[in-house]
Amino acid sequence: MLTIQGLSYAYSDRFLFKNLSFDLNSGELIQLKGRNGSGKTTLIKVLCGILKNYEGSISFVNFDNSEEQNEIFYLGHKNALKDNLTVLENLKYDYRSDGIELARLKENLAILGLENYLFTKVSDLSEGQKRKIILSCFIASDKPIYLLDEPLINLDEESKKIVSSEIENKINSGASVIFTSHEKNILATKDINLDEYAT
Amino acid sequence: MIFLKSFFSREVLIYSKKTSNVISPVIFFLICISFFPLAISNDPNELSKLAPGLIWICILLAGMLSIQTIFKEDYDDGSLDLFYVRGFSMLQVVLVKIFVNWIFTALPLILLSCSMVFLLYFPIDKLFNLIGSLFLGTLIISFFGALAGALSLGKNSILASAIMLPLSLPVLILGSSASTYSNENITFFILLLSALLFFSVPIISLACIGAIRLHYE
Repeated sequence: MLTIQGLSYAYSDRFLFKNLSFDLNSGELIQLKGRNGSGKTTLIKVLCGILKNYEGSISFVNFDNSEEQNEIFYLGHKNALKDNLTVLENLKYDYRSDGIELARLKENLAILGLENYLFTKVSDLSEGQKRKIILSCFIASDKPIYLLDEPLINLDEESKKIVSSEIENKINSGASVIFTSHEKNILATKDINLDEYAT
Repeated sequence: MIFLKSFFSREVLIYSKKTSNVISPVIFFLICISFFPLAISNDPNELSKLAPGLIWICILLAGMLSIQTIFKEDYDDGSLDLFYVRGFSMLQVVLVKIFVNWIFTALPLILLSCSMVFLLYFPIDKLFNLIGSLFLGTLIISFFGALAGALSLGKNSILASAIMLPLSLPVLILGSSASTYSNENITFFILLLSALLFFSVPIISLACIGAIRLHYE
């Protein structure tokens, strides 16, 4: 699905990672590891097209360049939610929930325990609850590639289990996931430690 | 087209919920305008001569309060990242954001300045000149302000003001002149402002896209 060859990214006169190569196949879960500042978030941003000035090649197999932006689900470190809008308004205008029925998003909010917060302003929610809003889009989405930056951050143990099982469901249905986390994930089929690629 | 419609409604909703962005420039404008007669003079002749310049200066300064932060929130909360991931047209993003900001911040000031003409003894026969020049001028200033905001993303607002103020000077001069001169001479200034707007829209929009992109390099 995704082939990365000789990928390097420089920041402030040093390479965050250099000559990184790997393949992401269907049904695979890759965990990006590394100390703080090792470039995990940067690599996710490079892969989903936010950062462009990298060296090396990123090729998407099975779909052309014009399609790739519709084939990726990106969950960033920041939630991209508007504090002064309600949960429902945020979901309505969130571009990660494009094409997903609102009823399905509401169901997923209920799974994560946010069914009573639909009309609550995002500014009144905790960081964990904000993360759950975006994760409800992740659970409802149906994409071949998922790039998740710290998906479990700020979540309670129960929610972590729900999200982990949803990640497993995605993999079982043939999707591919790359995610960053400091926690060991037993489902990961491959680990990439970015400390090994730093210069 | 679907994105344009949905993005426009999104921006309108955000501005309609963020009342401080709309109210702050209005209050600033009202305070400034009402202080001038007290501080300078209460002589109607003197005030009527100064009125166009005073209104223009107040509108420029009040507008600066909001336009410089036009991209800041989307940059800080990660929304801009999403626009890049989904491959949305940044030209549409920039144009919609500037236009909606203008509707919610500059338009109330233009309407308010119509009522302020009585306070400053502004000649009523030149009111349409003032409104015409304000419509064009505030749009141009919004574009310059957006560029200043894009260049100073993640930095303090003093940099944005330092970029925006010199750029806005020609507009200030043309705008206040258009409101001062007689009705026969207004066409010249309005044409100049229109030409400036005509060139600003594509050039400044592209410059904004480039400036935002710089923060992702």
